[in-house]
Amino acid sequence: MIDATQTFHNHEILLTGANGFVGKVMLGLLLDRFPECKHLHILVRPRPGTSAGDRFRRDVLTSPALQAIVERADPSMLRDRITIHPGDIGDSLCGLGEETLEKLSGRVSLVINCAGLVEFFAPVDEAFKSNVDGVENVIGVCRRLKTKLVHVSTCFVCGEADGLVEETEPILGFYPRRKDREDGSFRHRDEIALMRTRIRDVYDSANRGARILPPKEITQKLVDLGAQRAALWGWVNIYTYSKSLGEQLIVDAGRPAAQQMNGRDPIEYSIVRPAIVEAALEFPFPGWVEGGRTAAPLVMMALSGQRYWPLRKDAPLEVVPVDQVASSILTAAALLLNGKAERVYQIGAADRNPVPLGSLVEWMHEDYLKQKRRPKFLSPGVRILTPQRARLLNGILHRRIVGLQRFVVGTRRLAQRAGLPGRRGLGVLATKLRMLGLQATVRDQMLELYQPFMYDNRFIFEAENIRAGHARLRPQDQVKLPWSPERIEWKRYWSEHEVKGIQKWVQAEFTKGRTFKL
Amino acid sequence: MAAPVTQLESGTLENQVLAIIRELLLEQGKTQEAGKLAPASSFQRDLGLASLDLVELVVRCESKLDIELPDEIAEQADSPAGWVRAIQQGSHDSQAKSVYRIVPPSADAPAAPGTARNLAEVLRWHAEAGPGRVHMHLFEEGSGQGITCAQLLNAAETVARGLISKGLRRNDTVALMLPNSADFLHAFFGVVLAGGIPVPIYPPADSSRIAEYTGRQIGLLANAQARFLISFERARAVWPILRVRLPGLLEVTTVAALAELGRRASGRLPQPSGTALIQYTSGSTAEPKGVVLTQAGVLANIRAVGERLSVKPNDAVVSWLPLCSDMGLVGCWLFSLYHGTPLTLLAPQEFQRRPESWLWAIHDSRGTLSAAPNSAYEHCVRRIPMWTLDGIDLSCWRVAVNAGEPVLPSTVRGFVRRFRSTGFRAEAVLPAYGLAESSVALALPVPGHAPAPDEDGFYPVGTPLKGHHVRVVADDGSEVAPGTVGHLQLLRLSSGGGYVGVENPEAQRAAQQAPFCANYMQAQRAAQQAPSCASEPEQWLDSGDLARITDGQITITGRAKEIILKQGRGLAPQAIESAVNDVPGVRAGFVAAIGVPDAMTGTETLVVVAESAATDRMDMQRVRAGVESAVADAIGTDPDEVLLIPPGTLPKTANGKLRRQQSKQLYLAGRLGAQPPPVWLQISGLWTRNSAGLVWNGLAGAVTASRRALVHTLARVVALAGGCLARVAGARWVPVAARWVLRVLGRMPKHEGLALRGPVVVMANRCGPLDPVSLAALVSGDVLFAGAEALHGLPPTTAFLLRPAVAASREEIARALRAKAVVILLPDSPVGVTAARSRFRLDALRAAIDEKVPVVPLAMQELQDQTLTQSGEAIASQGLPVTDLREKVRESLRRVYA
Repeated sequence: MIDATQTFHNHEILLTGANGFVGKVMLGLLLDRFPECKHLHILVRPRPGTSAGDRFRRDVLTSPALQAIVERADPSMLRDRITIHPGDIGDSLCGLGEETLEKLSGRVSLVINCAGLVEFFAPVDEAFKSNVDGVENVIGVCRRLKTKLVHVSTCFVCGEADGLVEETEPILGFYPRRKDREDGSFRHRDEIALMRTRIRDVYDSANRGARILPPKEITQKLVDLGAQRAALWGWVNIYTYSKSLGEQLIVDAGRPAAQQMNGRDPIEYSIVRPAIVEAALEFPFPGWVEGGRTAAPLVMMALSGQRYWPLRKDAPLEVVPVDQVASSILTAAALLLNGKAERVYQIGAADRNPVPLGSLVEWMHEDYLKQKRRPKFLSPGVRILTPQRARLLNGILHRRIVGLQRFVVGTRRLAQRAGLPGRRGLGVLATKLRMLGLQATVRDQMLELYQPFMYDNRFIFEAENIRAGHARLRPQDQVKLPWSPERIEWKRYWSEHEVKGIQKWVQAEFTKGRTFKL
Repeated sequence: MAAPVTQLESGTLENQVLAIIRELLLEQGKTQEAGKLAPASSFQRDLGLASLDLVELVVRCESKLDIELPDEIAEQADSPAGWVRAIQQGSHDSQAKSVYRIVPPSADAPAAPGTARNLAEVLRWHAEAGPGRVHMHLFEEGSGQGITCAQLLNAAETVARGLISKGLRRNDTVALMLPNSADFLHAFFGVVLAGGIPVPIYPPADSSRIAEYTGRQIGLLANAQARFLISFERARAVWPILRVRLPGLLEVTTVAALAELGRRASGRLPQPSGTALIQYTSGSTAEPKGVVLTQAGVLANIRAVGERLSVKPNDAVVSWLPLCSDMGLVGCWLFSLYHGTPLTLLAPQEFQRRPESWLWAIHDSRGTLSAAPNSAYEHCVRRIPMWTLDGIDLSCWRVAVNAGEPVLPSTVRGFVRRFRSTGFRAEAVLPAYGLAESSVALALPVPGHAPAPDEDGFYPVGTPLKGHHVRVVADDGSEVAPGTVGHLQLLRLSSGGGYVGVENPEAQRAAQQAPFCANYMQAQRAAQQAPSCASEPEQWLDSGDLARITDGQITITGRAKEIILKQGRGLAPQAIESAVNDVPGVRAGFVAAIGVPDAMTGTETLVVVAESAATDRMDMQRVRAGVESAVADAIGTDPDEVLLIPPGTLPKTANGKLRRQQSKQLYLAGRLGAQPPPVWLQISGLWTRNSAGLVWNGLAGAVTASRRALVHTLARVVALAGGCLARVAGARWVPVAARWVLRVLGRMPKHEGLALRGPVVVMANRCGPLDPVSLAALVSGDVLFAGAEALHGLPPTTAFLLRPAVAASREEIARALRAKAVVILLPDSPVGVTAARSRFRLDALRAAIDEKVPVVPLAMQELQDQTLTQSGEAIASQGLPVTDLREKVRESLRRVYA
């Protein structure tokens, strides 16, 4: 039996990425359910003009997720047992000064690294800065402070997959197209070195060539570079590629001292891999969700009446509520601090309780009809088809819109030339059609972005370790750190929590000050 | 519609754009960014605006500023200042498009350079006489620009220097494969000024297929002995292909590259070549025929046409004809350059897409002279909706030349009737006749009289131009009486050129019939020998057309040669036929390309008739597609119809020559491809020859197919019955039914004494669609599949059979193991994945550990409809961590599998 409450009471924790979606909920869990925890050190990157403390107060403490919790929390805890450290995981030793490190050394016993860049196709240098260099720097801090490390990664580091993805898959030397476990063609050190050279080459050639490239083109070159490299090995995007490299750095640092460079001590670590993180089941309150990096674009598309879905009916969508993820990270932390942790915890639901994509889009379409107050029998319903066909249908739609738009513009010109009235109205109509066309384009792009998750692959993540780990907690702690994806009733969760949460928290943010909606 | 923006100063516009951005930033709560907003700030890095926000910005700018922005703006510019530039540029463009105020021809236009001896002198003369005068309003891809002679001269000199520094010598030929664009103009005069000879070639209709298209032009380039090919950027990729085949070709280059080089070079330009250009026409054979046009010949023709049309200083020319055709190049561009009349030039594609753009260009520029083939007029009649011509005034159009194709009375009448309301006058229509051999025009009527067709429906095309002489001869070469139809021949001007690569007059004459392989030096000599041709006055060329001359007026009545005139472009049937001969499925040598007059389009439709043995609909479709793409590659346009006919039905002469005229008549009568002998006779002959084989094959096929269908149906029935039995009487019937299904299918797995007896957990890879059934069949006693993924990919009936034996939970597996059942664990990976990469769930293994039951790895392999099964050592599960057990079994599985 592991006593998580006592564990957190005994150990001080350094937290990165606390202003992210998962980090915030995890911080809330700690504040709300473990008020006796010893001390939290939080790494926050100062922005120009905003100090780390101000940023933490503005972005984290007063955010909708934490507002109520902060109000009912013990003020002395916030004052005395939380320290904000300005720093950036992109800098060496996370930008923590020598003085700070000296102060922390011997006090902190665990680092939880929630920081990362979640954009699928970010320029590869930026992705590396957060997900590779950042991990390297966090490892440096762990070594310096002699702490253990819980690292938050993603299940999708598995890359292309069809079916169950096991937690026991060896991480070092992994790449999605690896033939078997002996295949040693991928070496993360070489890969990282190569990519750093090539990133430098891009910048060099941009400034040295016949003409100086505008930043836009450099960005595009960097995105292309990352996307090509990721696709070569079988990762579906730059995000998962860089995340996998980060994991390999950690595993490398955790090998026995004899295998390490300079015989350094291995660090003790645990990697937590959430699947797609979605709206909260109950904590901080049902339906809390933030940011548009989740399945939110799909939900918004469905709620604007999208009918054609390129997806595989039998593939589940691997989603897991954010509070389950946060409590799993803390479970892993408690286990690691007690020396009982596994190397990898995958946080998914589909291995026991899958939610098929086909049903998902049908539920969302029902929600859409309900919201539009349209009777179900009048709707033609959703159509599930191949991406090629969806593209074709969307293309036809797009051409029709463009044709109509041209006609309206032509008529408007004619009316103008002939001095007829109605020019204003036709102009408005043309603008509307143009926006419709833009929407269709945006939808197409969005579906293409999600195609690896809906059509090309079938992901089922084995989540045996967290299940077993959770069972080892004391019953009181099991209540404080819930794990229950097996019992989620997906249909209810999806329309009550996910859809409503996205409409309330994401869509408002997303379409704020936007004339056209997705 | 761009009026509000064009009136704005750039500063005001910038302020407006900034205000819109600031508003958006504030609405999104980005107060800091809004404070930092500056014209040079980057949208992405400084302002944190994502792509969707930029789309929003585009929409807002459009509605607030009342402009249209291109969708690519967000990709091209990443700062407010960049957008302002793009908006201003865009408004200039759209201004050019819709409000392009074409300066009306001023009366004080410089007089035509009557003393000029070559085109270079003409250009220099106009550049000096009216440096600011716009020579051409060029519209390409939606934007317009005015080009003065001085600009043209300047740009052309740069190109010329570039060419010289690349190694162009005087009298070298340079092929130009360019669309109607400023590049063409610069390249053409660049070559002329550099002392070279331009050779215009049709650019490909689809620039993405440039490689194939250029490959087809190798014959032409070889014939012209081209030293350079000037084309667009994409064509540079063709260079490696061409280099091998054309040793004389120095480089494939672009105007931009030449200009870049020319800017750095200096020096005197050489004397222009005596040859103005080489115009390729479709010869009567597959080989291309290049007509050498001398400077004097071109200028004489231009002067004669100007005199006939009595060109005035306030005339204006409008053209959309391709500059690579003689009518577009000499007839429109060089003509207006010489006479100082401004030319409005559109792209041919623009005319094809929106024929009204031609008429609007005439309206906008107050055009007086414009020429087009008959099909273009028909295109206008049929394709222009009248509402698009609202407010147009064509009363300025005084000469509408109709030439290059047979002039049809229906087209002329239709055009006049349809556009009378726009001010177009019937007197403007001018049926004319010309051919490349006479530079461009040969005969023109005096304008100002409404043309009237004679009783046969042919329009007289006037008297020959000054300095041009024609005669009509009978088949034997003797001149016929006036009013009698015969072959039209023209007398080459004393200063006229000849054909490329033909040395003496006799050969020149023969050249019209025979293919000729050229050698440039020979062509040079031919050009030098031109004076000697003049000493021989009886140098008559056959035009290939049939005509009669009445009162000095020429009337063209038909065509003797077999050129297909499609949309003003002559196509040699031989070129098409030789391309089609290579298509698989077509009987080589039995192909005919014919042009059939089509009243609907006013031009000829290109019909390709090919003999083919294909009878299957799919095969024919395939052959037809092959023919279409071969023709498209060869000539740049698709055939209008491809007719596949059975072997032996294409009319040929006794010695195997194609009879295209007869083919054409048969086609028109709808009898082409009819079988000569009665059909029943053929079929019965075929029947008697092949009946035995046919019957045997048919029967054998039917028996095989029906046997397979029978077996599968039976197996399905057994599976369904077994499934029902298992649901009623318990899952222990599943193995029994599985054995029966496999027996019916004849696919019992090979198992050397292997029988699975419980309690045991069997872990097997998946090799084929039916392996869960094979595994179930091996079991004696109860069987249970751990997890529904065992049913993935099974046919529905088989899945129905196995469903009762699928475990839902770990407890169920444990219970079954206690009851001594065989639990089968199949991976959750697709069929055919190697054992090492197969993925197994842990429930069954956990149950095995809990119940202390051994685990047996089972490797399956599918070999020619047989499933081979091999078992590894049983592994004791007791006390092992579950993931280690999985690794161990997988390891053993891999060994057995290997």
